[in-house]
Amino acid sequence: MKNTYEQIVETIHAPDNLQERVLMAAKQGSACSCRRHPILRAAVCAACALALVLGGLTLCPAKGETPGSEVSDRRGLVPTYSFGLTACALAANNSVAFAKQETEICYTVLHSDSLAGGEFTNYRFQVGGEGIRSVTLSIDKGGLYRYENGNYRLIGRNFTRNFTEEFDPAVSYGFWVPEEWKNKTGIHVFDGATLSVQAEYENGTFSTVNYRLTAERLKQFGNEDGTSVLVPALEGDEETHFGLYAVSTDSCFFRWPVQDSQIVSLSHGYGYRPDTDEQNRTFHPGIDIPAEAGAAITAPMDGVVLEVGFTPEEGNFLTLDHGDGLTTTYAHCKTLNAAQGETVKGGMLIATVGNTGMSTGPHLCFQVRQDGKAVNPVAYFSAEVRKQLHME
Amino acid sequence: MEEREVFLRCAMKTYGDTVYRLALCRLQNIADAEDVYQDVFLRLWKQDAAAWDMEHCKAWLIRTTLNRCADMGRFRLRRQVLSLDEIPESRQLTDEAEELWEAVASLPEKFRMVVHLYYAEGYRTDEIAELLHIPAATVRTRLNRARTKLRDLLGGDEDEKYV
Repeated sequence: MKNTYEQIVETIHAPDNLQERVLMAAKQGSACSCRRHPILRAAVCAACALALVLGGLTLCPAKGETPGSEVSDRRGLVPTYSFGLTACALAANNSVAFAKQETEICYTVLHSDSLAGGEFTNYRFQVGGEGIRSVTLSIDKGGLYRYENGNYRLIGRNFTRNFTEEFDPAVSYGFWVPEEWKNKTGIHVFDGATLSVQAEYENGTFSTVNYRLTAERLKQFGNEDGTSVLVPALEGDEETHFGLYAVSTDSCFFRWPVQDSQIVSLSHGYGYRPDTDEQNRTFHPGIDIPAEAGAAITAPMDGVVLEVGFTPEEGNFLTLDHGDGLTTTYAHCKTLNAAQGETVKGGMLIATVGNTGMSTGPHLCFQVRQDGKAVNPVAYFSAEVRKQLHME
Repeated sequence: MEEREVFLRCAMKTYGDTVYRLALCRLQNIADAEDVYQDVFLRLWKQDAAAWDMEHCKAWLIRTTLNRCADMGRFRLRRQVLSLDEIPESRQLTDEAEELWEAVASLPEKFRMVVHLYYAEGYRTDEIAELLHIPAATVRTRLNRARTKLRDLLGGDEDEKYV
């Protein structure tokens, strides 16, 4: 007599096409290596199918923009570049895995190439965007590989080769570790590297973005639309993980809005509260910065006052428009010191910290929105600023 | 080459579902299970295993699947349970069945794996012990503890002790 569990499992079958894919890969001889990496590394490494993010923002393909638009025009970290880097395996159903060991960012070796002698790590990214005809990649440290359907191919190292190919959204690229780095085990070997991505569009124009990579602790947040995002973690943040973080070199960062407080609330952080079930989840669209009542709130960058007002939830609030769809909102204020329509410069006083609206103590609720969608404010601050913050 | 291909086809036909189901139970993710499936059978290909007997082959496949799943090390902040709705043939299962699947999926991996190998693959506790390289007593403890959690859902004789 069959047990219930067996009955359930028997309804599950491997997809039909898997057999053919395996046979094809086997006959091509490009099968993955049977090499088992040393036990130590296997024990501490987590497979991370990806942790390369465009400035900590958006993990869906970047919305298309008019190709050829001036990237240098941009203010703030704007996810809607003409093309963007997107992360693999971070849509709603996929997960990201992280290093278990706190002190090192380990990677898993997915494939070894006896010819090139290096290792293909499981850190991968994709290029996204609209109207892209071809893609050119290069990196100045270590190497890059191309991954498609189980095939790994080394495509460049140390800027000695610019690799160009026709754009295919299904292809992903990954980080390749050369022979001489193999003992170092961690993905931190890519810290400080510059990754250059150039896109050629259908109309013949080009745009290039250079990304500075840093290996650091990251934290995962779910977005309202089901995608999730990785942003740098702050000191004191819980459940952080290691990964590679990419920021374009012409990003412009925010100034910290509350000079008198370097604290970010841990218990009421950005995003969904963890551990609540699906029905009861509330989304907190900003970060809470506790401070003394009356502390000065200053504009994080130049902008125009879009709106000032009062609601029972937000209390006294003010919204700044920084252009390109980027807005910031300041809630629970004591006083509002700028008028609607007024132009403000970065660093100028716009409001003071208060306790108005639904608030249990004086704090600033600082919200950032791109095209109306709330994003994690932490991503908009440079590493220097973030290092001074801590969560409590 | 011909013979190797025949062997690989045969292995996938006979044990493909075993590998896939085990990976799916362990990882709770279809794309990941597919990756592991391909990885495992490509490794079998490299093993040149035509001389093996089928039981040895099956044991090797199960061990390799579990190793590859562990290497994947996918770690979910909120533990993910695969919904049976995502599997076409499983959609018509009863609510109770879905509940049982989810209950098993919610078990910690170590418990989940012995449950799967015992109930779905029909291995005895001493065989599971050999597959996983753990003492048989550990297997029995894990099964008992899992069963306490799954008591009403697994059915079968409640007083049954694992031997």
